[in-house]
Amino acid sequence: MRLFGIAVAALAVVALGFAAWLVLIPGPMAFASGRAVALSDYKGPDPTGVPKELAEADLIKRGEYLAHAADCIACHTVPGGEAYTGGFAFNLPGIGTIYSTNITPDKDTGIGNYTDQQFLDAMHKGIRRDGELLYPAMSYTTYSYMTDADALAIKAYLFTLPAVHATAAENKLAWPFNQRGLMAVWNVFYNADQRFRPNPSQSAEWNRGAYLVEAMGHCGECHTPRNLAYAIDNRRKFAGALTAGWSAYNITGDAKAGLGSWTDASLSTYLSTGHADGHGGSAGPMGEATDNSLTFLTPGDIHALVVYLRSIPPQDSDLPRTVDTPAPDSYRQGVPADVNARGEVVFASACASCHDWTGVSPTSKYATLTGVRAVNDPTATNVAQTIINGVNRKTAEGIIFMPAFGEGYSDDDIAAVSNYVTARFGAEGAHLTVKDIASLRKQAAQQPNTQEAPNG
Amino acid sequence: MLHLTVNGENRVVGDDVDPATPLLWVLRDHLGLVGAKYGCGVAQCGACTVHVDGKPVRSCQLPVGTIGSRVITTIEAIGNTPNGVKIQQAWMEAAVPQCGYCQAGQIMSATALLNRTPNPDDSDIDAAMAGNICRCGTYVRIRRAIKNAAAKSA
Amino acid sequence: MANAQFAQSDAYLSELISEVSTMPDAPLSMGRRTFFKLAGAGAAGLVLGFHVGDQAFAAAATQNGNLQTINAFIRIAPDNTITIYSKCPEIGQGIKTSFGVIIADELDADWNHVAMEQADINPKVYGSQGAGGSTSIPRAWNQLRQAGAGAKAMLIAAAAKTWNVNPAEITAKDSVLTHAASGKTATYGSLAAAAAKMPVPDPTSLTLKTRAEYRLIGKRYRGVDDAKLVTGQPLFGIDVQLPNMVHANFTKCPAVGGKVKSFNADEIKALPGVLDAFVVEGTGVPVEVMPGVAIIAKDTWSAFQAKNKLKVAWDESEASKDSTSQFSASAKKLAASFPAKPDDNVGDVDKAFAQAAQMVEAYYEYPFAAHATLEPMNTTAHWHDGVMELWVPTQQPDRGMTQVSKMLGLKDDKVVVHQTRVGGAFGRRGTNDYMLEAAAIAQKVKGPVKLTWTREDDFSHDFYRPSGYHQFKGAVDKDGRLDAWQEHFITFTANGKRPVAGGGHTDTLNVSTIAPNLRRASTMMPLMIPTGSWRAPGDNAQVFAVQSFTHELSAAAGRDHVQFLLDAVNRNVPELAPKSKSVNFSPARASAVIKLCAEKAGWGKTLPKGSGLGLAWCYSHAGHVAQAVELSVDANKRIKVHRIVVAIDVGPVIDMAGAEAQAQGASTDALSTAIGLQLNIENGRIRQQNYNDYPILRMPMAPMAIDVFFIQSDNPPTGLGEPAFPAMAPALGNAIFAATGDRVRSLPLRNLDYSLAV
Ligand code: FES
Ligand code: FES
Repeated sequence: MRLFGIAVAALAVVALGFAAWLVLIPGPMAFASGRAVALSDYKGPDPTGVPKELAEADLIKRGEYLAHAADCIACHTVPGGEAYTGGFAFNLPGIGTIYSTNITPDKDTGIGNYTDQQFLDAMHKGIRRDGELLYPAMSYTTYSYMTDADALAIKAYLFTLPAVHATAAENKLAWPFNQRGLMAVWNVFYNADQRFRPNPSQSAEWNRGAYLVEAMGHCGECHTPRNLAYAIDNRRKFAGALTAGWSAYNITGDAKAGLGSWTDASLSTYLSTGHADGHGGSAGPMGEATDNSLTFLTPGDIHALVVYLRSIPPQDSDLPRTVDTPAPDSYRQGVPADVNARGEVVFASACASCHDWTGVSPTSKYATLTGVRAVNDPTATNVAQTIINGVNRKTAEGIIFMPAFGEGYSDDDIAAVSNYVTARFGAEGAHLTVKDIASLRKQAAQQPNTQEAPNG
Repeated sequence: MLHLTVNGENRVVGDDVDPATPLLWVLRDHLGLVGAKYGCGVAQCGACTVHVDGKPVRSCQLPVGTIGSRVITTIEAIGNTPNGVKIQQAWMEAAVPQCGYCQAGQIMSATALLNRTPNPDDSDIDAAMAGNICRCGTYVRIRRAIKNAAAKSA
Repeated sequence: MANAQFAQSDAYLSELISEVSTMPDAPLSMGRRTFFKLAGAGAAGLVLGFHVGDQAFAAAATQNGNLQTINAFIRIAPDNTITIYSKCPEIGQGIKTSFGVIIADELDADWNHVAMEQADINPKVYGSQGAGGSTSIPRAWNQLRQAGAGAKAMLIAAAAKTWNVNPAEITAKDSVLTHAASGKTATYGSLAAAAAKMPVPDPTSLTLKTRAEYRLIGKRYRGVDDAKLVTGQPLFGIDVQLPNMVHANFTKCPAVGGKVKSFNADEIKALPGVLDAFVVEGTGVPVEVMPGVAIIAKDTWSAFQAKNKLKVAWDESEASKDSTSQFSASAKKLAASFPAKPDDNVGDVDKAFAQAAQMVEAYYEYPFAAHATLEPMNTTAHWHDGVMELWVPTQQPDRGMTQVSKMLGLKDDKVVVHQTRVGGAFGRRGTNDYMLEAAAIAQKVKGPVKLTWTREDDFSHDFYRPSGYHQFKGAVDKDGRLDAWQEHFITFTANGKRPVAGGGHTDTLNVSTIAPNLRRASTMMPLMIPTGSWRAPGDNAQVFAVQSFTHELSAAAGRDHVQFLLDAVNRNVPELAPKSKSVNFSPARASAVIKLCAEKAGWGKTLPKGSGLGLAWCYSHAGHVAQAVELSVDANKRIKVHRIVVAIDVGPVIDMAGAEAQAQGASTDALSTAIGLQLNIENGRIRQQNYNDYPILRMPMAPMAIDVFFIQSDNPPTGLGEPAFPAMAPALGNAIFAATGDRVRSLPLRNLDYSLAV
């Protein structure tokens, strides 16, 4: 009897402990030494707002810069669709699909009727104009760190956009996730609803970087794993996660799997251009984040990002160190053909022309595979996604293009060539199956983008 | 002002040409060398293949500004190389071309193959030629012509 | 409104297809007329304008190094080199070589000193100059031989006159005339001038060679342009370069039928290298000029780059909303109910079904397909001195000339067309839309302009092979013979009346599917996406359905398939006998190719488990062809093709190397298409945009060998660009059935998870 009581008590404690562990998640900047203070009490240069280059700019210009920094367009636009009109699909395995909404100033279908307060409530509390609660697909838990001034500057900019009539697609969610009301409970635990608090014991760049990363760029939304309650788990901050069918890699200081081996210079170039020699180019969601957001940041802000990222405590993950030596230039060496003859034939047919048997492209640095993290990811998730969806980035250097092979090539072929590419140019060959490819296709599915490919 | 070494000559490309222009279009529209063909513009057909420092390269993908001092050889001059002329001969003896549009690219890829693999077997041929589409389906004869040319070299 | 226009263009294409698909009795007389005209014209010095004593000659002579023109096909120089003009477009079918061989043989010319050139486009002189429907050879056969024989006769006459001997005693060989008795000899070159003044013989008076007398016909030749091709010399339309030429591309609505509302003109015109950008309203007819935006630039790349920045607001109120997924769904439903009014009805099908020993029902389908010729559509046009001068890679230059003059309201002689070599056609270039676009654009441009389509334009604005859906019901009698055949064909219509181009039951199938009780009907779904002639129009896909289902019947009957086919082919059903004299279908020739193919493929031999041999045949474009495929299939549905055998009767073969190439190319093309090619259409837009979406067979997957056998008969020769395509897919499907018991009823095989083994 007594034993039983103890057992129950013990269980209770464990249960509570688990619950507590589940809900009491450290804040995004909790890792840093020193105590954060209210912005008003902070003596250093203001880490919020726009960089000094834009200090004199009008509200709209500042709002535009901040909208870029917060990368609103990424989620509020479908590939090839009209900017800010919504419709982007978040496919959440086991939960359903959530579609982003139209944030042009259209009065019926957009945010045309939002007052400043209503806009702030959406940004900080995840509350819609009609009082309904948003799903955290909208990263208001991040934006809650944004100052009112910055949020309203963004609103001012959005209201200068052409109003487009575009009704958001109906979310397809399984019960109980279709009960928006439940978000109230979730918010209690997972949305601090607290503005950014600078940390005086850190440098000014660090604080600016922190604001850009945590209040604006919401890197954690993709790069930090989520817990059972789908909340960002800062215990594993930036350790990498699978989001919308793409791997967002470890961006902690870890030398093997993270950014530890990157120089500040290559990190800045990568962030500002989406490419760094020896690390290859970004594709998929990171490619978009680069072209829609990061390229617009001033060198000063990019530097701040680097400073802040450098301070993230290393988190190990099971990714191998990337191989930075080219593969042999004969197809006969490298991967023995019998290992994956099909992969070799597909590579020879559709890939070798640009990527070469060595992995070092004779035509474009963006096509070099050597040293690319994705190629050194034994799950080959991003390799497969890139093959399926291609690359179509509009950058300062012109259009960076790789054809999409999802339409013309079978899951069998795509699995074979993904496995071959990781084996030939990466640390370790993947073992994707036809099933895996089918599921990757689903997770990243968006409206078909039938835009013509460029001829370059 | 860009300087290119094309088929052993120093060719000047005027400032009116954007350095991002793919070599293919500089050859065809500015240097009057139309042997390299446009088929897809996305490195999927091989019709635009030229040699850059001896390697087969898809000229539709190579920004002219990035070539620097690398040496370019096109179909117009590949016949001045031992394997180039052997391949051209073999192509005519086997009557390979149908419409002929892909053949300049096929010949550039085949010559590059012989340059590094004097006696290619079928898998060598597959690996080297897979990037060149022939819409007319001349593959059987291409394979035979490559083998005949190799036999001559031996 | 829009639909009316589409019907209009579809009428054009249907007419073109039936015209080029019918056989060559008519062209014989045409050949004769033409020859008179040309000869008369020749004497008057009009043809190429340099005849002895002709005023025009003095000038021409200096330019032309004293070349003598015997007739519009042949030019002989004093050094005894002979230039022969090929009147039809070279599109990869080898016509430029074959035409030369045919003329040179009758002329008894020395082939080693014959140069082939593309003739100018002048139907008044040459008659029809189109290439399509595999009809170039049959149409020109007599005309060309008469040209050669006529020229030889004029040379002999000249020799007889100078030597003053009996012409009958003069023999000709290798461009030399000999009078044995007097031991006199002279080269053609030395006699050309005199010969040009000789009267032109009446073609009917000429005795043409018999097969036994051929010296050149039937040997193996290398292509007459091969030396230029392998050294990258300019030959193709896209290679045309003219002084001060500018470059254009043309952007049309991705959904056919869309009109331009507006576009970002200022932004585009400001781009580097861009010279101009303007809207072309066009005629609104897909085979002519649809509305779009033309960008003129200093080079192709600048034009392409600007195109990527082009933002056009389209009015899509009348644009296509077609969707292939919807077509498949509707077709399946429609197929269920057989129409009350069949297209043809022979015997008593219902009675036959009632008494059937075996009955089989099956549903077949195949997708839309693109031509995807490797040379994208292009044309160079120069509007000067009231003349529209064009350099075009087309299959129908004479038609194009008329279309341009009609569109621009010019007299025929104000349109000059230069035929270039063609980088692949497959029927695509029977339509001259790109030629008309260039003409329309050139009128607004100073100096010559080259219009080059991007590959994406090419996929988006093709005249496609339509998809098709066939509900079959067949019966076998107690003797295991094909007894009844019912077919409900779900196809498309543009005008509500006729099926779209390439979407009708073909004549060839009508005469070659022989069942004593037969009933065929079709139901048409409306279609806006333009369709056209695609290598062996109709046959290229319908033969797959028909020959596969025939195999289902023989299998159900437990018959040997070859025997079953031979029975069916030799069945005498008068109602199904060819109506038109122009159809040369022959049960005997069909039987012969089927037997030869079976024999060469080792029909009846026992194969290891998982292997199979499949055979199918077709009568297409006047050719009789049987194809066999031997393959094995593994547990992962990976197909290894061990052997492909093709048996062909197209009459006497002109160029054996070229004929084999056509058979091998068509078989490879058919394999490629059957395994992996399809177009998906959504909201009127073509999903596939480039070769990454449209996986044409490549070297590693291509067959190692394709064995081709010819039955050379005394029948007049017919074309070979198309006949070796249709029977390949059903032979493949029948072989898969033989190997696995799995019946292939839809294409491409990729959708059934089949792939070629590496
Ligand atoms: S044009 Fe360069 S590969 Fe096709
Ligand atoms: S010969 Fe026509 S594409 Fe190769």
